[in-house]
Amino acid sequence: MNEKVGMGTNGPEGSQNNKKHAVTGERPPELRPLSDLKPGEKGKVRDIPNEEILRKVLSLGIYPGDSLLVLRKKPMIVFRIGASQFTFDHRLASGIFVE
Amino acid sequence: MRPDPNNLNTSTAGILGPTTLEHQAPELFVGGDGILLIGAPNVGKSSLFNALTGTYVTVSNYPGTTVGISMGRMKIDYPEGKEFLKVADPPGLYSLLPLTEEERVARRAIFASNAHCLLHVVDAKNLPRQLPMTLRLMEAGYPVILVLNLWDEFKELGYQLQAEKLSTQLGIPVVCTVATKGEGIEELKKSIARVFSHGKFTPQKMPWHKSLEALFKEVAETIPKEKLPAHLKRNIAAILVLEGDDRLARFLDLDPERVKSFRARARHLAGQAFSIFAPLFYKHVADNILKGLFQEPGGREPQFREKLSQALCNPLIGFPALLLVLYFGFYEFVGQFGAGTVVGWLEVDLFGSHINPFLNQLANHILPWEWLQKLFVGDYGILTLGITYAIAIVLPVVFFFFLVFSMVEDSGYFPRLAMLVDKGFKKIGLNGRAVIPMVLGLGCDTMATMTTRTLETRKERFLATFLLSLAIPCSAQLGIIMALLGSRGFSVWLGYLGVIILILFIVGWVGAKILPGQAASFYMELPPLRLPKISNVFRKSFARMRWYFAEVVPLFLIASVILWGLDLSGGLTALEKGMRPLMGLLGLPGNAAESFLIGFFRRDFGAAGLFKLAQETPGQAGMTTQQIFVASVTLTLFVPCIAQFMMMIKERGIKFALASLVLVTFIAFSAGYLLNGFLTAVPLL
Ligand SMILES: Nc1nc2c(ncn2[C@@H]2O[C@H](COP(=O)(O)OP(=O)(O)O)[C@@H](O)[C@H]2O)c(=O)[nH]1
Repeated sequence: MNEKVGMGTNGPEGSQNNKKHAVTGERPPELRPLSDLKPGEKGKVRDIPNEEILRKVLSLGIYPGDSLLVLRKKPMIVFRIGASQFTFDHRLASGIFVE
Repeated sequence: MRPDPNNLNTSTAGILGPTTLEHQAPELFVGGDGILLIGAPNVGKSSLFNALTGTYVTVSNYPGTTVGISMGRMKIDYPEGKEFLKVADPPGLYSLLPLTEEERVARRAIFASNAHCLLHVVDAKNLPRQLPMTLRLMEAGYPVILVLNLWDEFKELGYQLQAEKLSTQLGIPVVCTVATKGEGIEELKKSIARVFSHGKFTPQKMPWHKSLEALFKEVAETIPKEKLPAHLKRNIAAILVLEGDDRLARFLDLDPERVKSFRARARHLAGQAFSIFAPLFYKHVADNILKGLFQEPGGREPQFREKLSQALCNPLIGFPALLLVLYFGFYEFVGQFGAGTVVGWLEVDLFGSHINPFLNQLANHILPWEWLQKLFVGDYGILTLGITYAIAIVLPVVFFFFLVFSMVEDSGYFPRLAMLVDKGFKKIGLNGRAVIPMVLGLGCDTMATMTTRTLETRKERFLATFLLSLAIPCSAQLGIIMALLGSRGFSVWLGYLGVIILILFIVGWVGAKILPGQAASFYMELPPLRLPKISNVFRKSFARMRWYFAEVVPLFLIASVILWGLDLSGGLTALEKGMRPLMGLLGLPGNAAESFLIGFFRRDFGAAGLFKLAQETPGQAGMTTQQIFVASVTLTLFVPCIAQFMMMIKERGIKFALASLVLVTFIAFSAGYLLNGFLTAVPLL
């Protein structure tokens, strides 16, 4: 069963809170979903509004602020952060916003 | 590595099933003199376990293959003399908030751990991502040693770290190791010995804000002491609950309303959801510690390995590569060589013409009654059926399968395969992660059923378990079916594969529609491709064989005894009679009923029985190709073997297991009936 996070971002104050950047409290200038990046493009993880996705991403040791490099898109996005490579399906990748 | 008889004392002990109460695991080490290994998947934890204990249990390059806790023993030298310590190796764990069942097993082990010290094993290159976990373990008061493994790759790639300064900053020992080469192991043992003689560890204080600390305390005070797992501190439990650990909150019997208001307060104090704040907080502390101590290399050329890794992710290369692996690894090596040549030699030449005739004679000579003779020798004898099949047929097939499987696993190919098949698997309600249980099922469905617990959602676990019991033939069965169909031409063999895969997809698709819930999203870390180490592969295969012998072979023997009893009491004949009309519906000879019945005790027994039927013998014509085809398909789909059935009960519960049994039988015979009708109308074969 999916771990349902107790304090979700579904509440009204939740969605408000997530407009701000998780660390600095500012809204970053331009955000794109990770799924839009092309191979070879770089980005910095900025916002992950969906808490279930955030939970998964954090549990893998990926944090807002990490720089990533997209290695390939097909059949699924593969990207590198530091020394590790990850692959996420489309649903997850489109819930991760990068700058 | 010193050979030491005590070191062989390794077992996959304490496989804490999902039925075990969440945190109510018994203490891990009797007497408390143990060491617990903790680390994310693929950091070399199993290799380290083996370097420490001198035995190899299973080393996996794929998240999701070790579900139990491996236990071993290691020798340690003190100034005062030597001692043996137990070493426990639970599955990989990314964070203290588990998402998968295997992570839960690992966390339960930590909370039940009265270990003298806890080795946090990390991939040195990934220290910045893994140090937060070290901090959490330290905060929780566990005596931690930080092990920086894969130190060879770390240096080779040009990373830099001032390990001594890190050790001083953290206040815990930091040891660099190359687990596969045994480098740093002596130093690690010395550190362990030092921790043992020093004794007490003071929990590391984290620089939480005062207001948050006060809140932790307040939450902690609502936690009833008697509910708390043995080795989990109250305020650590409080932090976890605030972070959104609902399972723990439920286990601790906390009032949901109160938890909610606590979380709201934490959110207020932290300025954002505490579940986000906390991980970032630990990361922030870790980054501060590493500042100036850890340096990543500048830009580097993609190596050959990297390019190969990329290529395997490309469907145009990945799928043909898969076919090559399947063809050479599984078809040629396991099927032709293992199931053909070696089995032929063992079964026909060794057991058939030498051992069994001798045993038969011996039994007839020393056992006075025929019914007793039959218990040991004859058609359903423990020796001539149980042992012979276990050793002559199943052992070689399963061993060769495990050999190939372990090799593929060690190379890091599986996560890439998981990614390739994810889209297809999502259609049948699973995700790419399920590729491991499915491929493993081709070796042993019972073992595969056990590994389904690594799947994330209930729906996936149910579907995967069901599909394994329906449409995935195990290697022993597959070996015999290959021989059966192979003699009728390659196209018949392909037709069989096509029909089975078609049914797998139809049933999976329908199941995915019917069962509530959804497949979890697919996400995975791709470990680097590594050349499999032959010694690892062999030891790993042997470890799996050991499991197989301990868990499955006894069931063979039980099966022979049950068959013997049924045969003697006439029950077998009665059941067979009952099934004969069913055989007629499939266009099969009535005596095929026996194969189906026996098939329940061992899938391959059934197939083997069919094999005998198919061959022409004096006074009996062999089966037609159509009959063999229909029988092979039906038998593959038909109920799993008794060992798998027991594992299904253990993992998914009796209700699910019984329902599956009925459904599988129904689907198998309907498919057989339709197939026979179709082939009679359109004679393709
Ligand atoms: N080069 C190198 N390879 C290692 C080291 N430790 C483990 N490996 C390899 O890394 C892979 C994963 O190791 P394993 O022990 O299965 O990791 P686990 O998932 O943490 O148990 C295997 O192919 C090992 O042979 C090491 O220190 N150096």
